[in-house]
Amino acid sequence: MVLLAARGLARLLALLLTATLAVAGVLVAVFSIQGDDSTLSLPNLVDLVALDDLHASVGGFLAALEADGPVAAVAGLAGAGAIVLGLLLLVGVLARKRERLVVMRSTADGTIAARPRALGQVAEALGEQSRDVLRATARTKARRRGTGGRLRLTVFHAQSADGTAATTAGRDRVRALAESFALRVRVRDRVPRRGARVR
Amino acid sequence: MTRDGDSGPAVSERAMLAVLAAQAIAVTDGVTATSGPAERWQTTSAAGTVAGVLAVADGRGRVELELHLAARWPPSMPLRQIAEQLRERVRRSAAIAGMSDRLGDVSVAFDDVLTEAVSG
Repeated sequence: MVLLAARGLARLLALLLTATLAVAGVLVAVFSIQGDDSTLSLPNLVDLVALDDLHASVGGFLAALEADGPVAAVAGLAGAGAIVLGLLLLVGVLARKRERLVVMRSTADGTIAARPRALGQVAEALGEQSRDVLRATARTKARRRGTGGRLRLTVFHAQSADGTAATTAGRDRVRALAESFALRVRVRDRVPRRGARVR
Repeated sequence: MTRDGDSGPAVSERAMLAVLAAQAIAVTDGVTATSGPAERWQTTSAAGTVAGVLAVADGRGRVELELHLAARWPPSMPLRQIAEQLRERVRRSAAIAGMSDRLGDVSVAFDDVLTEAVSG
């Protein structure tokens, strides 16, 4: 659970930081077009975002931070918090997720299982056997406990083809696979985007 | 887990059970052993490396085996039946070698499929 939270936080933060960096880069680039005190000059950007005022207010805070007192104590706690957050982010980025297997049978002698990716490959190959289906994609997920899992099959068909027929055909094709691995199947149909490639 | 010097059964026993399992996989139709993209699923000992079989001392004097397989699709028989047949082969081989009391759990994982031969 902690790992999941750490991974989510790392992804969110990475997204926010890269977006912020991109926006800042664009701003600096745009405000480098002109020089001196023109509209699109860096000095004007400094004025616009009020960096002078920011410097004045942060300067006061930094001075309080250097001296002993409540501000320094709060800053110390914030620093410790930042270290914990950093460690959490490192765990989120570096920790490897252990893939759960779809268990077919589990006894005292051992288990019989399959990797979700392998089942997805089979489901895609089976789904594409129908002549109405141009392409199929599958996502398989193992149950946390016990046997079985979920299979989500997406069948792509031509605009002129019947979506319901493609869905039914896809479901029929993967039925045997789903039954042998106790997979709960969900099939949906899609028309490929214009210009999308068909494998 | 499969390094030399672990507590539990001697390396030779683990290696021997791993070899027996690899032989059982080799004679089973429709499956091949796979050691995975990072070569994680293999047993390394002084006797050599056995791909696709992870032999682990369970700490109670027995050896657990994990058989990692790539299955051809469509299979000649249900995958579950293939797995059961394979486990039975491994247990029989261990019994013939006089090591059935050393053999612990035998798990089978289908890690990959070879779907090139899929036909309507």
